[in-house]
Amino acid sequence: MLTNHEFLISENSNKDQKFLKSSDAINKDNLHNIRIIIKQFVTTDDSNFKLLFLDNLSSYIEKIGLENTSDLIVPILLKIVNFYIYTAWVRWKIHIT
Amino acid sequence: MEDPYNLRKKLMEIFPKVVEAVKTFSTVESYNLIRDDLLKIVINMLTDKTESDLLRLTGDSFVLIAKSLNVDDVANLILATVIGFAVTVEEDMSSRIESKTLAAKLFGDLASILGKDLCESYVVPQLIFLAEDNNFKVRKAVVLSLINLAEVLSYLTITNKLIPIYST
Repeated sequence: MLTNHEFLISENSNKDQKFLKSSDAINKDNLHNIRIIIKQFVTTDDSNFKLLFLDNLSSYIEKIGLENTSDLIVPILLKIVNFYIYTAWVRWKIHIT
Repeated sequence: MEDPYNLRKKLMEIFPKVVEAVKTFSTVESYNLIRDDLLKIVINMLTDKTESDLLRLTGDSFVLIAKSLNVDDVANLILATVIGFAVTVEEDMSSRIESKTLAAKLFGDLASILGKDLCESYVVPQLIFLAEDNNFKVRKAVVLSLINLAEVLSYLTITNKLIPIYST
């Protein structure tokens, strides 16, 4: 398992490698790394990053446990499926202001 | 660059794995997460004018979740949702057709999970209604779902209610 320090170093490597390593560095007693990945997922426009996140999702769920899945993962999934609703709302908001 | 279509497609591709991962916890909480959160995500996909090629994938996840639920939740959540699609009052014609077609397909996919009693009481009347729809796509979906329905229904229901739909 990677320490937080090693994980942060691995962030400087290419994204594929980072994901593979981060998967080893995630567990329910240490949510720091999964929070970093989720933060990046929310803020990035890089689809490859997001697709890789989804590829690893079932593994993350097994590692972070049920309660953390509910708190951290479910909102991400809702964000993905509600994308069109969200963008429609943004367009409407821009239109009326 | 953000690519919402591929993201949604990937999500539906990996969704069965997500459901299985949650199921492995085998607790009341994991059951509730599947019923309350994962089902909500799939229903959002089904109702949010999802691209038609993603509907098949999404429908598969919907059926997988239905298999994980108890009889009461299947009746109250799964069946009620599909009936909602069947009796949709969408103003947009193509959305109305998509919803009804989806309902007809899901009734067939869910037949073995719903069981004989729910199918005879609720699904058959809806399929009779959909079989008379003006749109060919809806009627075709009904015909295709009858194969699965016939395996669940009693001989009397098939001969007295379903066959008369297509007798001249």
